[in-house]
Amino acid sequence: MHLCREIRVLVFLTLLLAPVSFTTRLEADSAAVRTLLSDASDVGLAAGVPAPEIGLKDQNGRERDRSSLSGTNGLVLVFFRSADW
Amino acid sequence: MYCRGQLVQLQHDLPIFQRAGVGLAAIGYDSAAVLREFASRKGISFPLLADHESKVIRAYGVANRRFVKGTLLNVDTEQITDSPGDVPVYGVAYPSVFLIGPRGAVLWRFVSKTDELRLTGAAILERSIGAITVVDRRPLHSDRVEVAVTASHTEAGLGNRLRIGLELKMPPGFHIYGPGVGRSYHGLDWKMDESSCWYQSEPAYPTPRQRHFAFEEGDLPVYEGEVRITRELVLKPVLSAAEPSLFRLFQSVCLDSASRVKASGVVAFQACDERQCFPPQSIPLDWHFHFLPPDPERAPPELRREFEQ
Repeated sequence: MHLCREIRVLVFLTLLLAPVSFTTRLEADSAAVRTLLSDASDVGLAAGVPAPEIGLKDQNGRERDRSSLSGTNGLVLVFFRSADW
Repeated sequence: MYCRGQLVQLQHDLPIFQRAGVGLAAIGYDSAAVLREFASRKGISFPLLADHESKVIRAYGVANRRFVKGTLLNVDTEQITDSPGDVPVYGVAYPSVFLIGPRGAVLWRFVSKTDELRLTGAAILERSIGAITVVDRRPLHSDRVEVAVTASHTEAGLGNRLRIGLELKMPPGFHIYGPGVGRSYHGLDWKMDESSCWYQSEPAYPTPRQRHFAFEEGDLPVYEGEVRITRELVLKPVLSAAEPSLFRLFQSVCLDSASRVKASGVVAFQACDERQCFPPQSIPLDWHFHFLPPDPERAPPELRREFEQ
């Protein structure tokens, strides 16, 4: 009888605490979030400078330069880490 | 893993780049063979460029400084190791985005402070050229002022930086006060609930008009007609090899039975016409996204990068 109640209490506490511990492990204050979402302005070319030429092969083996990639209003270049890992 | 998710996400957003007349290309340190296999497996049609020697990555100043020559990375734990089975990461790029104008100058740039949070195509175009993407719009009940919630996407994966929005439409002769109006007025205020599931940015309020009222000294900031406010929303990047239970907790806490994530908040404002102000209102807001699970599939072993001395 007592054991049964203890188990119920334990289950209740687990359910209650799971989201709480989740929250505390993932919570970040708003200033930290602002920093996390902001631009690392000390890295990479600044706005206003001439963009370096490209000259690389695409996934189909075609040599591509900036003008072949650009639309009439410009080009968005996304640098990523790896499509493998 | 977040990279693969981002590239698939950009493919999804390709039509909005085309509509904006902006080209889209992605550059990584992978070989053309890795990119070819990935593009064919995932149906990526925009150019993925193989910068195997990281020349362009360096020219744009976005080679990861932490990964010096000879660095090996355990990609599950993100720890630098000396195990020959791990991935050589010298020359890897920081996740970053550049908008290059038609005359060849960098017009806008963004370098991510974390490896896990990635701008969606819609977020790139909104932040760089101010083009707001709305694929989902839902009116909410309210009187006098029409309120609707909008979103740039209907699906969301971990770390995808989405844009959510709020539209308020007033009949002629009505106004609401701008944020931080002060005195005894209730200014427009959009808050998101505290959550373990997502991060949000501060809202981007349009600049209110300064208007003079006979009953008040000095001008008051007001909105009339239509107001559109947006902000960023991103599901927390909870994949962690060191703490695999985090993702399970995310699934149990953040996803409903249909595998959807709900984000919620509240907007408060006070509507007035030329004669009177009505009681301040608070309207609960919610957005729903189908959850896109992470994709664990790597390139075939024979294509993976080999260690270069």
